Order: sequence, then C-alpha cells, then structure tokens
Amino acid sequence: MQLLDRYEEVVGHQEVSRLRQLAERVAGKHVVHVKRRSSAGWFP
Amino acid sequence: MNELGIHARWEVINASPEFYRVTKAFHNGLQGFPVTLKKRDFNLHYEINRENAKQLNLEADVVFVHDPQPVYLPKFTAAGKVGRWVWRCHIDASRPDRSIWKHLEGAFSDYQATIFSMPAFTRPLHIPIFIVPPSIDPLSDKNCAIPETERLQTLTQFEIDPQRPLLLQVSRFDRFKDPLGVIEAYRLLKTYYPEVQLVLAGGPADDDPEGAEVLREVLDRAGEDRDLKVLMLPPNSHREINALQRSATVVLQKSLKEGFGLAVTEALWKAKPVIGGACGGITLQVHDYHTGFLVHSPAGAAYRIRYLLRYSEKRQRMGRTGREFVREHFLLTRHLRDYLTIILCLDQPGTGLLAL
Repeated sequence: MQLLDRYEEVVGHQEVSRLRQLAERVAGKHVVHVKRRSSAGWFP
Repeated sequence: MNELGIHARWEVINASPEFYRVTKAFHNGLQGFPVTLKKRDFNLHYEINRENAKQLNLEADVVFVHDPQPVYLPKFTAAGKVGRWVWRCHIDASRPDRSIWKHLEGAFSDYQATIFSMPAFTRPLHIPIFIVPPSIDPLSDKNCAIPETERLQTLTQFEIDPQRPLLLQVSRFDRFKDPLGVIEAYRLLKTYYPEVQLVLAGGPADDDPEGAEVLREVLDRAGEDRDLKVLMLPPNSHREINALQRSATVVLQKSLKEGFGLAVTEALWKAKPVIGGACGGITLQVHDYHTGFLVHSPAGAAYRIRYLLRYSEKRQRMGRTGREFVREHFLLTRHLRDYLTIILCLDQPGTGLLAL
C-alpha cells in the first residue's frame, strides 16, 4: 500500500485527490529543504 | 512529495557547537529577547553559511531554507543553481531584537518568498509572505492509533492509575511552558477532586541550559506527592507520549509564550480537550467551549479543569470537535497541499500576504 493510500484512510478521498491534482501541475520539479542538525529533544 | 512525482530531499547543514551557540542567540533574539552578539559572531554565521553553500547539493527548482541558521546560503550559492529560494520561519519573529533582525534582513534580498506559521508571527517584508501553519503526521508513532494493551502498559510503567482522572502537560521544562503554574492549578483542584493525578512529561534538551534549573524547581514544588509525576523521557519516547496523551482526561498547555504549540495539536487529535495559555498558536487551536479553554492564570486553569471533570459528556464532545478540527486544518496532508500551492505560486509571482 502506498503511503498516500494510508493517508487517504485518515483524511478521506477528496483531500488526497486534491493533492494529486495539485501535484500534477508541479510534477517533475526538484525541491530541497535545508535545515540545521536535528535537535536533541522532541519536546515542543 | 516524492510519491506525488516531486523530487524532494533534505540537506542538513554542518556546523560547530560555537555556531549553534550563536544561532541559539538568534533564536532568542528573533523572539524578542535582548541578546548581545559581537561582530565575530555574525561573521561566524556568514562563514558557516559560505562553507555549507559549497558542500551541500542545492541544485533545485525550489529550495526551502528552514530557520535562521542556514539563512545566508543563497548569498554564497552560485547564480542559476537554484530556481527559487524560500525562507521558512518556524517561530514568532514579530518583535525581534533589532540587531538580530538587521543581520538576518540582509539575507532576504536573495529570497523570492518567506513562510510563517501564522500572521501574528510575521514582520513587514519586501517579498511575499505565505502563511502555513505546521502540522502533525497522523501515521507517526507519536500520533497513530495504539493497542489498548500498550496504553495500559505505559500507565503501569509510570505508576499511573488508569481508573482515576489524569491531567497531562507534555513540554520542555521551560519557564515559558509554566510548569509551576500547572502544579499550582493541580493543587487548587485537588481540594475538590482528591483523586486527580498530574503528569508533567518532558525531556532533556542539550541546547537549553535553563532546563535543568527549571526541572529542579519543578521537582522541588512537586515534593512527595505520589499523584504528581514528573517524567524525564528519552528523545525517542514517541509511543509513550502517545499513550499518555490518549490516557489523559484533560491535557494542559499552560504556556506563557508559545510558538505554534504542536503538543496541543497532538492532544486534540487524540480527542482530548485542551486547556491552554492564551498565547501564540494555541489561540488558533483552542476555542472556548469547542476544543478546550484558553486561560490566563493557574486559578483559571483549575476552574476550567473542574468544569471538564464535572461534565464528562461536554468533555467528550469537545474532544471529538478537536479531533475533527485537527483533521481539517493541521494534518500533514494540508501542509503538503500548502507547499505544493507555494511551488505553483512561485511560478506565477504575486505580491503581499497570501494566506493558504
């Protein structure tokens, strides 16, 4: 099962469908996220 | 993103502890605390960014730079390597220390857009500002459904009585999270509900020197009360936190100052009403009589906890409302949709504040 299918079970078909439609318009793009090293804690 | 046909990846900057000492001051300064840094500190920031710009693979259509640490990467990256630069600020930068903002502002001319978590966290800028609240991942260990046996085992592990009401705050031991105020609220409540239990769950944060001092104060204030547990959990305690949140009768996030407050989101997702300090992103999530209550004092918190303990049906209804509220606004899929929209917008540049 694809990850998106698992999300669909939580958020519903419509939300994932909107994601897919939007993604079609930017498909193939290369995106990089840059961050600092992971912080030690997980506490907000 | 990759499953949707977008080639996405993360790069992590490499830096010395000294760099992180300086950028911790940036972090504090951005949130309005007065900080004193020297010219060499700012120069160190430039130099580490220059080195990382050489070492990291930044070739992409869009690069999202998170927080102040790598903010100067565009300055030192060869022209044409990156299509669009976007700076993502995760904290409240609305009232920054002037010297810090002046330093960071120098980087923004190389960006095409910025992202803040909520409108109140922004500053006037000459580039478009997108508003993207953070989110939680409903499939992660921290937020997924867990077996009832695991939940009960966790309670046994921490000597918590599953039959009695449980109040919970999950946060660093930080004065702005007001753990002492939570204890005060609990003590006020204990007069009326002697069976109530309180858990303050936090963990070590090696970049927070004040944490140990606050923890000492909390332990001192907790004293010998067997119904008040102060838990120091290791960084990978996601499932334990999940179990504690699911076991709570009421969750508190009695912060005096807060970023977005994802612990609130997590609790709402587990259908728990939240009593939160009226600050930062908590105000976006906690709505009186719908998903919990906003409070301004320990007495206010105690008063609202008492209400929720007394009216279990209302408590459960507020929990259900909170879960649906998070499903609609604060899950990872909405976050992803916002990012896709931004990527799309960057190909059709506009101006001003655009709330997604």
